[in-house]
Amino acid sequence: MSQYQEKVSSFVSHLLSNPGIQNDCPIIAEQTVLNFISTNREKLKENFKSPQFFAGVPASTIFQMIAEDLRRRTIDSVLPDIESMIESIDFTFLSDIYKGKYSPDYYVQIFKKYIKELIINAEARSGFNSSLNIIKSNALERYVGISFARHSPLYFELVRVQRNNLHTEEYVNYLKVLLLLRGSAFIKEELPPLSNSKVNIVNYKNDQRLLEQYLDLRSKKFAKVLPGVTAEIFDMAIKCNLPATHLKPEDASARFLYIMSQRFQNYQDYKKIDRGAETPDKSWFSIMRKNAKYYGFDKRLLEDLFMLAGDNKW
Amino acid sequence: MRKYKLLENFIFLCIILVLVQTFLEDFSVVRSWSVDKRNILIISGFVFDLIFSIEFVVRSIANGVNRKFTDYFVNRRGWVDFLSSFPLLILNSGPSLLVFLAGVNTVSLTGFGIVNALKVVKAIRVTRILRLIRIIKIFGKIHNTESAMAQHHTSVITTISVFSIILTLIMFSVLFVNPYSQIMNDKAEHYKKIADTILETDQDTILTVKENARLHFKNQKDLLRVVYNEEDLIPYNEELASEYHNFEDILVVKHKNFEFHFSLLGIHAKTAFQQLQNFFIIIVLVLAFSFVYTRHFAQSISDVMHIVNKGLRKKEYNLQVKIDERYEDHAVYRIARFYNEAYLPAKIKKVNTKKELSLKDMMNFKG
Repeated sequence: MSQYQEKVSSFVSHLLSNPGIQNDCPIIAEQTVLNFISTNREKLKENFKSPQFFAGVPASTIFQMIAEDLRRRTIDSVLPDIESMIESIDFTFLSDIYKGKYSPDYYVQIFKKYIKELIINAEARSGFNSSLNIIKSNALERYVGISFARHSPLYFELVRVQRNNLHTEEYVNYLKVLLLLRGSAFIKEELPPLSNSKVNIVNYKNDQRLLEQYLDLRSKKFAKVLPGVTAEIFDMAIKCNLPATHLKPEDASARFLYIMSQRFQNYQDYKKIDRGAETPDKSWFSIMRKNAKYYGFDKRLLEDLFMLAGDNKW
Repeated sequence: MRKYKLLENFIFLCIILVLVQTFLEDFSVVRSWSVDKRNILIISGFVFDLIFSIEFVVRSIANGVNRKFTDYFVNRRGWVDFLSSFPLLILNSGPSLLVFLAGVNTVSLTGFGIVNALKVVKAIRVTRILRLIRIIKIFGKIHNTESAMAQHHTSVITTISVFSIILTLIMFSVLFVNPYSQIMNDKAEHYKKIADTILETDQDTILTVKENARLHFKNQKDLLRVVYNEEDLIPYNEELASEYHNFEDILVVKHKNFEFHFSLLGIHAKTAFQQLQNFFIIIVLVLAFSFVYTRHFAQSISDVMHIVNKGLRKKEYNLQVKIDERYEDHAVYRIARFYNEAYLPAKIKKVNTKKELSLKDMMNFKG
């Protein structure tokens, strides 16, 4: 089988070198290739039988090898970025919760270790695309910074409604931690007494009553995995994957990050904005005000983000 | 293609240079430049007119071969190329060069009518400025308004305005006598009267006609030479006359036994100043249209349409149009508002922006 490993790898390289995706972020490129395989599965099975491809090897094995190769490449390419993202976070606010029991350096180490495991999960990995885009574009610093300075509705929701009295920089770090842990919601595990089979958030998205039980059990279990991270933080991180309709008023950080994650998932960096066009963020928030219900966004937060983007030409 | 580009750049350079030449031709008269320098301008004017005439012929033939001559002449402003080439070559710079080459250095009073006719023709000289319209595209690039629509509208409105001004100037020169020509005639009449007076009073004074004439004419600044019975009463200051006066600048008036050579430089300077004013009015108008109007047009129409068009065609382009509230009831902005508030939200919901690979992309795998 090892003789095919090299051919699979070269086939994946060939697909990734396609001009349509070669400049994309590895996570998006991986998704595009997986979508391609899933859409054309039957035709690919036929093609793979030819000597040009993988004659004599079952197609299912080849699909598995391709997925494995893609995952390895994506992780190799994205992990260093995530690790530098972790290194850029000041964990003092977490350390302070435990009155210095855990040092900020400790958090850097356990988060690096945890993310290495988390990123193996395809859905969790996919979510890191928006998180990395948010970090790279300094979106949290910009929006939280200006909102806290102005005491705009976003500030009101994050600080007053959520009752989280962190300073601006601490809040930004808190939100970055939520972004890191957000993908945990997709890890499948048995959660007795709720379920004896392996489940994740997808199984409970449409049932409000069971969802609450799931969140409670899940966050408590996670808190044991990462000593020094409270169950409340895990709870909020998992909620970042849910639309506003599934959340309580005090889950302001989750509502905010749900919007930001969607904004930066297919983030397009417009090199040059056409004259007469609105700025990218303002355009996006403005369009989403109309689609808020459809996507489950908090309209009040969207309005505020739209104003902040417009006033600052973002 | 590269040769064509080189040729276009050469023509653009000629347009710029011909405008400078047109300006200098009048400026040199206003500032009393020497004849040598002004002769260079006459030659250069002829060369430019020749170049543009050749260009017009070449373009006409090239378009004619493809049966597109009418389209070139009517729609692509071939008529501007024509008006700013052949009429100038035949009626203005050509005759000027011929007279210069023939070495004619004065114009007689009988020839003064022809000069006046040439003055009418000279008004056509302003049509050179029409060439400026052809470089509006360059202004567009400088001003980042590369929209073909904006450039087309600016060209149309500029052509109409500039052509209207030029037509009015030509009509004025045809229908009305130039006030400065009238001054010239009055001056000639004035000297004739003085001559008559001298001849009439000759009998009663102890001064001879020659002495009397010298007394009357020696302080006339524009009088270069006075001849009586083929004898110089006031001789030429050769140096002054030939350095600053060409054939157009000296008028010879014959009356009885007198011959007056007087300078038209002062009158020509006034006419040239007026032409400079016209020149700058048109230049400023073209610049104003190119910079102010094109910008306004781009901002309120073509930019808006460009963004809407891009958003309709490219699935990943989702930028909204900036609505200018001053014009929000205009049809263009009403379309833009619909695009912003209805089309884009629906597009984002319905259009799958994910990139896709095709089986064709896979098949060229070499293994």
